[in-house]
Amino acid sequence: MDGDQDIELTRRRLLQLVGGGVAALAVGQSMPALADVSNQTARPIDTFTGPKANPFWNSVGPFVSYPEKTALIRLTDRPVQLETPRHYFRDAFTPNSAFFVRYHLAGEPNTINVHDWRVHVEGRVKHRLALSLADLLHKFEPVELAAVCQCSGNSRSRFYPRVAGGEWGDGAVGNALWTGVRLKDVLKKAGIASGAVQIQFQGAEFGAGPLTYPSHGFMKSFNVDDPAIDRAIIAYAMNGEPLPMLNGFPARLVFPGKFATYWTKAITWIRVLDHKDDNFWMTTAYTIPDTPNGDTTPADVKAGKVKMVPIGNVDMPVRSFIVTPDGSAKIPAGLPVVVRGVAFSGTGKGIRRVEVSEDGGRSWHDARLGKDYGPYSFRTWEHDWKPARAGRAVLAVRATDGTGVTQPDHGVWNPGGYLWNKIQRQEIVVGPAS
Amino acid sequence: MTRDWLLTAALVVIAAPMAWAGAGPTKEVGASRNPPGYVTEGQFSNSHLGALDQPQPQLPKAGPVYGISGPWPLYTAKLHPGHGMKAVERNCSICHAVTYITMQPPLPAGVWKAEVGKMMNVMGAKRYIPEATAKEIIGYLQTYYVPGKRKQ
Repeated sequence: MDGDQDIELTRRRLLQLVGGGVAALAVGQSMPALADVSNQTARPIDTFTGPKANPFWNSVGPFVSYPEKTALIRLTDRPVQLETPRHYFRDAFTPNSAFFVRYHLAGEPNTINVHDWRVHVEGRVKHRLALSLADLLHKFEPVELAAVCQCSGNSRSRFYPRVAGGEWGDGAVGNALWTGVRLKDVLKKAGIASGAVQIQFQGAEFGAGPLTYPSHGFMKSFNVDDPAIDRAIIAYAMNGEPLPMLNGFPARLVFPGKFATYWTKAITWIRVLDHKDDNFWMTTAYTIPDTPNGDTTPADVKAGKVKMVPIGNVDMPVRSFIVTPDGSAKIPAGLPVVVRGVAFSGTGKGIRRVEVSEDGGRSWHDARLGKDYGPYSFRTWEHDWKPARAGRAVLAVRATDGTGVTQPDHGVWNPGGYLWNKIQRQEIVVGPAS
Repeated sequence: MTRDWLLTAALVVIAAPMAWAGAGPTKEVGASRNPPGYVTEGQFSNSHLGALDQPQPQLPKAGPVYGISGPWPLYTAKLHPGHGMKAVERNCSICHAVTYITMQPPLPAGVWKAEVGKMMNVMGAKRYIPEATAKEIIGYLQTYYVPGKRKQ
């Protein structure tokens, strides 16, 4: 009986927390609440969120097991989409076994025979190439780079009005140390011929749809002179290990600073095109409004006022996460707590500053930055907090990147559910110490 | 021993202002099992969350074939029972699991119509699925997966 009472109390408390989050949303103050860790296990999380924004840090799918992976959060199972639970973001590098997964088409490979697999470089090139894994390992200079891989639709479930798509919480992102060869070294070996306009990338990922339809193949392109091409690497190692199958074994593209949609897994074709790529995955999917921060309104979209451009036109905007405390434990007043998390930016200028607020964003304190692993990496940060009195406290974090841009306290809206980087808040219950 | 004694002495000194005046005998057998009034003790109940089995570890086979052993596991969500459910399962699953439906927030009827239209025309499902079946699928989604009506 007492147990039931406790459950009822917990339920009411949770409802209050969720209710607080939703009420606060009205004034644009979402507070990601209890996610993969909770102070109860009597009730599972909601099976879906909406029509309001998702109030939880992660998405709400169940934990599931996959080969080469630890327990992750399921979005979909065919093709596979898995989200990384919040607590893995305490560290600068995300373990391969916990790294998020996002496929578009259900023909993702179970196995790959490296005796036959090649990276084909073709199209407007002077010499066609077919590079084996051994060629990548031995015939090019190896390079290493820490870079954040983030799904374009990371945090899509925060949008309001909600948009259809992969309903990610904040965990469709990870940072890894990538080892491989420079894309430009491979292109140099092939020699780009005259008339080249774009370079198209396609991996071993196919769907059951008819040929020529986007449900059959997934292709992404950059202009031949885009600086992203010069920075890119074809990575055959991730955090010093082979890539998990679900993350693109034997090799994937890494475009530092760009969203993951371009980071082609199991890269198999590099095609130098003599025209602009007009396939669905470039012209319709993964496009953003050509407006400041990719922000617009449902009304403007409906009125046909919005010009859309590929998301590859922009770098990932600056973001930061609060990872601990996560709101699952009550903190006694006077007990010192270290607030921790990560920050990142796709601009290539790194993170200049991270600030933490203990009062929901009214006043800000500089956080201590962790080790610098390069401008495209997660940067860890921490801040010492000693809650003074019992009650509800709201922590907030905002990062400023090397270009001087600070995260906004406004959530963008666009029809694809892309580019979310609003200041993150975490509600904490502080109890009395006596 | 000496260190333990010093520690005890230090604790006594610190605790002194909050304790009874005067020394007494220590309780070598520990406190009584009866829980003190400030503790709620040892309550258990069956979990309502599922346990996740650990996979059996295994070494990969030698040779040039890399990857996982066997198929990818399915964790497909259950759809709301009702007219059209079978049509949804049979047809949508040609390309993707119906988990794509349950993952969405409740969506307005017009959005579901547009989504199925996108699958039919943009994604090419019209090559596989008759128009009448697409209408049945739209009807099902507009019945069970719209705001106010969605249950699971």
